Amino acid sequence: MPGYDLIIRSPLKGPLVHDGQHGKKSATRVLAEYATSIEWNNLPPEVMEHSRRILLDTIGVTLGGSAESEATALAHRLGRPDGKPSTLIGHRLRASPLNAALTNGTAACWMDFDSGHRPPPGKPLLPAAHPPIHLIPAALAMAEAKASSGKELLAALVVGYDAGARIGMASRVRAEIHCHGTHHNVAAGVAAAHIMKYSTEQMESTIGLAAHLALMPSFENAYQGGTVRNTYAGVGAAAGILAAELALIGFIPEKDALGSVYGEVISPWFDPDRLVDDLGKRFEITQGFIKLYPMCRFGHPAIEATQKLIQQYPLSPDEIERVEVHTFDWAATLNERNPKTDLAAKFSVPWAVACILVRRSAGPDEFRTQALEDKEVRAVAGRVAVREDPRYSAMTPFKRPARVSVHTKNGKVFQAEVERSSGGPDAPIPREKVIEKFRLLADPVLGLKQSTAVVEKVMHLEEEPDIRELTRLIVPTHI
Amino acid sequence: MSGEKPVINDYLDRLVDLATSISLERTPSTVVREGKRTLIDTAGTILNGMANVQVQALAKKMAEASISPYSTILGSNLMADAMWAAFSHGTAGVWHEFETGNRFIEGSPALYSISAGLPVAERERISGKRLLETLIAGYEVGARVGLATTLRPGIDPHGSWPIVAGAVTAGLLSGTDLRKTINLVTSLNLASSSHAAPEGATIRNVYAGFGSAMGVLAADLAKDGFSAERNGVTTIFGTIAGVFFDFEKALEEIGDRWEIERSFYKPYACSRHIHPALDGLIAILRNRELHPNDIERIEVFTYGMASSLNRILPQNPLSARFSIPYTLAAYLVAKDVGVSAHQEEALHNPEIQELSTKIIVQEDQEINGRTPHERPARVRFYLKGGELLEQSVELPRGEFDHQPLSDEELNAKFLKLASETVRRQQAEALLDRLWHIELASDIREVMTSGRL
Repeated sequence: MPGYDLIIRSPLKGPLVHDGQHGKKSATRVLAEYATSIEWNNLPPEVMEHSRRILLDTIGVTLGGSAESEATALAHRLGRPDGKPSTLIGHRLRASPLNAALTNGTAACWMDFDSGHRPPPGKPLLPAAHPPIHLIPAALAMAEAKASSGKELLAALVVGYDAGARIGMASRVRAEIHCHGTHHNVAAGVAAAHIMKYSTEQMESTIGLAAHLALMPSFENAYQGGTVRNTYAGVGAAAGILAAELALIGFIPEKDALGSVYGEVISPWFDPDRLVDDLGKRFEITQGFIKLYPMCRFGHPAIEATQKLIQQYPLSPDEIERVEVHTFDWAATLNERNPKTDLAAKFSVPWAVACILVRRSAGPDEFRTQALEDKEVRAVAGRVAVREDPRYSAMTPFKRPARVSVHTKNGKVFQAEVERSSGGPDAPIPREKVIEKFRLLADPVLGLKQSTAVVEKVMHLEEEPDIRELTRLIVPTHI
Repeated sequence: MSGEKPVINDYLDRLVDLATSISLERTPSTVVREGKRTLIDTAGTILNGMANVQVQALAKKMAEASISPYSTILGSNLMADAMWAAFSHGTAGVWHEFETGNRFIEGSPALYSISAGLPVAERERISGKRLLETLIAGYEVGARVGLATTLRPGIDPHGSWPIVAGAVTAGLLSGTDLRKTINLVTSLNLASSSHAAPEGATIRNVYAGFGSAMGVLAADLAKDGFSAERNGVTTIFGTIAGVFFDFEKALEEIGDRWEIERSFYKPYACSRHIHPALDGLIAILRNRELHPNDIERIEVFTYGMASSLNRILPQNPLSARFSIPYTLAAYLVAKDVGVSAHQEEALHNPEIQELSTKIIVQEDQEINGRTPHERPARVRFYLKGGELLEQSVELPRGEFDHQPLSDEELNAKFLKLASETVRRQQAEALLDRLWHIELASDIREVMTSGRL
């Protein structure tokens, strides 16, 4: 095998790579002890609230994505009308936990409307990542198979979220790698193992095995609109289930699997101390953000700046000569003026800004394939320039500003600026806003009555002894 | 960051053209014969892997998880979704480290093509002739991507570029856009750590299963309308999993030289990098009868990759299959090079354990310079009486250009391996069907012989 000799002599195995130890125990062991010991009743109320909101939000974006033709084809390939324990969300189809995790994870990612985790500001800067679309498809599918209670599912989400998010904070996945399907496979595995009531040893194995099933997918697919990118999270969710199953059979991971995979193969370093820092005191699920617009999070400040501008100066599209967006470095890369697929539109600030200017909205309808035919939006998007403002870049990650300047045909310039977009821990949104977003996505699929029932059920899920009382509600019952 | 990457050249079109042009009528008969030989050898290793209880438990899970169980899991009585049958096959196929490979690419495209190809062909009711053509195609394209790829240090090829071989075979069998299927599968590559095998982490066997399944999934996704970036191969194998993608190497002598004809077949159930040293040791013992007690110490000089396989006390069978000291000691004590040489019972043999501490493995710079065209090892015995015996080996047995395994030897290996799982008579029938696979109008006729 190539690499064995290189490894032994490689400088990578030098001081940068930790031996995986945290004090006397390995960090993986500490994480496994935490993941097996947490119970719902001992969690702080705000952690409980976050877990309910993130579950609702993820079900909503999965329902929204499930109707896409590719996601529907996949559901029909991997599911059948009856006889299997797990629900394919949004379809009258059922599947094994493995197939359900793959299908639902793919649908959950489709709209790019899913919630994410933002590591706290600090050095080095760490990118946001998306635990829920891995974690929830895996946990929900497994919880159905085990007929778990609402409390068991929600507690699994809390510990799984911590596992994935903390690996993200303890490493730095190389920039050209898309983070879906990478460290949150471990989030999915831990959640599944929690639902399966694993021992600490089995949990420890699951963590290592899930790490070994990390993908190394490209970010380029997102930029080019390659929809295989939507399967990364689905495959990652399935990998989490697989890892839990493999642990039960007795498959063995490397002793320091996290160090190898996240400290060598897909990231240049891994710091086990960060993995377990304040574990059980600080719950990463509370550091999540909920997206209000179905596009890459970096573009949200530009959307909100444009909304602010339009509220002050209700310009009509005909008046607009050109638009300049100044924003921070990462957001400034989302500069495609002519997105060719719905996925490419989700990575285009010009498209999002043009949607606000023309349609006064940047919701799900603005990012569907049909919307790409809107000539008026296309015309304006073609005149939006996106530039980095180095002062803004220097303010990240504490602030993520954007400034929008609209130049009108009669020579005037209108401007608006925001420091950050809403939905994150630094600019929280009320529960009603999360429910409103859910309704927007769920009502068309489930109908008003059933959609309301889902909200009610999730918001009181800890009282539900059988999770299947929720999952029977997340498929359309009307024809 | 948006916008198109420059199209390097038409290398991918040419690989796709090669894959789609392969037919038993037009392709050289020696290539077709090698296609059958890789199929037979791989089917044998898969059947053999299925004798392991963990692989059986995994296959059972895979069958339970399946929705459209139209595909046989070889060596079992189970049917599964094509993707999950491929997963089981890939995992079983590497279990005893006995699978065919190719010394120029450090990987086994045959395993991925076959693991993925059999279930898809069965699902799609494809003829034996067409299956054989697509297996050869998958091997060629996968191997050429492998030739062009220099993986990052720390990455095991299992689950990495060989996934392309499985995707090509599955894509051709399901009739998908092949270029798209190839670009699509690349992002489903695994971050497979290369520490796993020597450490005895059995997840390493799953890399091959997972990678085979991703070949099937990619073809299915392509059929269901999923899309991919234009140059997934160079993005993934040139920048993400690899450090450099040499597309000229991918096209080297294309159409004239067939990578499948450069395959090796393993005579011993352990890492290929151990074979040169083992051949050296066997040659010494052929001329001289020695007892372990006669030996003061043994020194092995070999190339870098092989010299890193120097663990003294491997903790489990997988780890033992990646240990030169253990494998050589086991041969000296038990004269065994088959699967049983590395099984749990043998690991605890105190005689083997003691002898393995006397075997020292060293890297030799002069030898390094001779790879990959040669895979040399020099074995030196220091006997207790002060006598010194030495044997050099340029290439191990089983290479296409050095002591190749004959059809009879391959048949014997197949029958021995397959008989661990199925009855001898059934193994013989299956072997006969595989040698005449082009006569099967529906591959299901063949697969029934591979069921329990």
